[in-house]
Amino acid sequence: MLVVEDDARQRDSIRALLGNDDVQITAVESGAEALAQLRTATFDCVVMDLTLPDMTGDALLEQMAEQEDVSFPPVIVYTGRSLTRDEEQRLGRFSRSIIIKDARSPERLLDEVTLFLHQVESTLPVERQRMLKAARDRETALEGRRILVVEDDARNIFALSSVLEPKGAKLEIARNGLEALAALERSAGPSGQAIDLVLMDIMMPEMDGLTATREIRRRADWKKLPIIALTAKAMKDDQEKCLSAGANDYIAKPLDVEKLLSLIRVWMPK
Amino acid sequence: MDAEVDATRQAASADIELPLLLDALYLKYHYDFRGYALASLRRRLRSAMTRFGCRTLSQLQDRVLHEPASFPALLDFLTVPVSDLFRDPSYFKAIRERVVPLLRTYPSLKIWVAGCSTGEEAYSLAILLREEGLLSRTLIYATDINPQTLQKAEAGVYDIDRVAGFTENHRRSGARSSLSDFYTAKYQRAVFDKSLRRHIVFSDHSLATDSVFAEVQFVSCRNVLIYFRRELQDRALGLFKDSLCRRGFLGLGARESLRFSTHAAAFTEMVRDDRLYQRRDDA
Amino acid sequence: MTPALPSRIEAVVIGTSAGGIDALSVVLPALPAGFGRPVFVVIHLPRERPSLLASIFRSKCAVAVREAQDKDPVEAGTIYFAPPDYHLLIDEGPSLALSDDELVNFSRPSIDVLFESAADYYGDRLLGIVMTGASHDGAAGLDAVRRAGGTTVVQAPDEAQSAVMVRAALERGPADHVLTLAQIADMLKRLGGEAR
Repeated sequence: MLVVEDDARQRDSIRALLGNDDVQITAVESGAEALAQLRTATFDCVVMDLTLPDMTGDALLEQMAEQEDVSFPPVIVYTGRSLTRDEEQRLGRFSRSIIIKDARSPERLLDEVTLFLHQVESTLPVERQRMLKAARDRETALEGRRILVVEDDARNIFALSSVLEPKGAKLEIARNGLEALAALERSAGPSGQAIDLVLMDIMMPEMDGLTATREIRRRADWKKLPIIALTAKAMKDDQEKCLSAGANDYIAKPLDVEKLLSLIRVWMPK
Repeated sequence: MDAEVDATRQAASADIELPLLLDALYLKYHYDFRGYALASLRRRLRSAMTRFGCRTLSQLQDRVLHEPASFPALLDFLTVPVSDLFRDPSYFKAIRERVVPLLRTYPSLKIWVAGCSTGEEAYSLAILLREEGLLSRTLIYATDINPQTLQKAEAGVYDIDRVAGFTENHRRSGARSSLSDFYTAKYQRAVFDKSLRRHIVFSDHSLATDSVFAEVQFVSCRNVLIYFRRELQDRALGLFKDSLCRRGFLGLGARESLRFSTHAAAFTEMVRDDRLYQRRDDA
Repeated sequence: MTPALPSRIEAVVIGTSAGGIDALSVVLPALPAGFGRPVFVVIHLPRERPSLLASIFRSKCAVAVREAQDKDPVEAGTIYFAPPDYHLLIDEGPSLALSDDELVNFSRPSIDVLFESAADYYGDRLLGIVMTGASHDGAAGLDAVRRAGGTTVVQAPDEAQSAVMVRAALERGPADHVLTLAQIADMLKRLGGEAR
């Protein structure tokens, strides 16, 4: 998919909104770059702003239509300015849909693109439709996955590693919230390896689990990181607090390891 | 005459081949179909054989053992078929009328849709709970063993041709709003609202081999148990019993029941015709 | 003269659609109280309406009449109707199995699904009957009964309210017997008269 947007911040946010394992995004900032891309690569769809540094969106659309060496995939116009009826009509000839940027517009853009890509997929022959790359063994769901265990009780750490490591998961241990944040920082660094899931104890010295969870959620990159809180059984409102602090789920201690293992499978990103 | 003899011989060989194939799938991929009811399994495998161009189950076994890329396609034949939004509207109506008033009393809710296939039931419940004002405090676990159907479920995109039926079902379920409030339609597809998705976690879980993972107030498992033999049915019902809180609710498919289960005594019948049960206090 | 059936027959499957209730009203009441074999019936009906078939036929028949329930053990001398919106299959035991797998020939329940699974289980001890109907469902199923060595009966097309289904079945392969409803009823009565 090609994104044509001159504002770097918006380019990034569109990329974050639409990109995933199945959607590859090329982002450019000018009309000339867009034309160059369309000459060399094939795209399923173009998302285009109308205000570009070197030409208007209209002009870009017209050039795409006129130049024969340029491919012309379906276009979704995504613009910050309101359009006159005339402009809308003119653009309508070349584009699938027009979305005016607004508070709710990211959702609509996502919907439009999702629907569009599904259409592309469903017209492919069955063999070429998105099948999983290869068969997966259910037993290997945790293999090579990195789990950050934030826990100060050595017995629990031992119990967790003795169930998770035989399944191939790599554990990182942090003794409190501060260490957890440091470990996540390291994992995001150039030599770090991404962490797939966090098990967070609530009662800890230095920085407790609720505070640590809130801190993690403040970072945009970690918004989707699954966090499972480990709570005390008796403390029913602990569980509410964990969820409102941003944990995805909770499990009561003492830990039933089989149950925890199943819960980790539930939350482990696919 | 030859053809008749041949057919009998083939049927007998298939009885030998079937358990071997199921063992192979388990050993190689840890997907366990050994507790599935045979009649449906046979029928599904027959379709798979046609699709793969295999004459016998042994050929199919050879293929799936030695060409791992063919396994996901086989899995599609073996897992829960697609459903409709608000399939059996009276079930959802009964949930609104009998279950929701009690669910309101919990500060936060967890619901487990076991065997969610492509997500229709999970979205139906999310829409119902949104209409009843409960979705904001609810987490729905929607689980299945087929990663491909989970992916489709997660996308929440359905053929527009199906939406008329969905809308009619929704209306008959005692709807408090229009189904169109919950989706965007274009290019012959409808995509369900992302704000519903935020309350659903779609994930891999096997009723045949995995354990309980959370305490929930409601388990909905419709038209999944009919594909299981009694022993596996019992295992699944045991998981439901163990994950339900006291007085938690269990919903089954229109033609399923607890009749043959060793866990029958742990539940009381709540709405007989719509197969809604409640876990006993002392279970 | 109605033909005699092989005495090895242990079970009967019947498939029908348009005109089927009238046809079944001739055939099923003929079963004698001591029929001694299960009879499985698929009739196409609107999918969403609760089926009243069992209660309609209960009063007309000398044998027990039930709507099939998943995992019920098969009992001899009982008529089982497939419930609306589910396929009915015969499983090990023998027991009944339901499925909500996709429609077959635009139908659920489908005659083919019942007949094929019954042929798997009963082999040459099965009697398959296809009667009036407006779809092609049943043709492949009856073929499966034939290939497993079972006995096949098709209602005479001239007599059928809607002949599409019976013609499709006959085009797929020859039936052992092509009979009127009265003859089918008589044949089943005689089969029931034989000790098992």
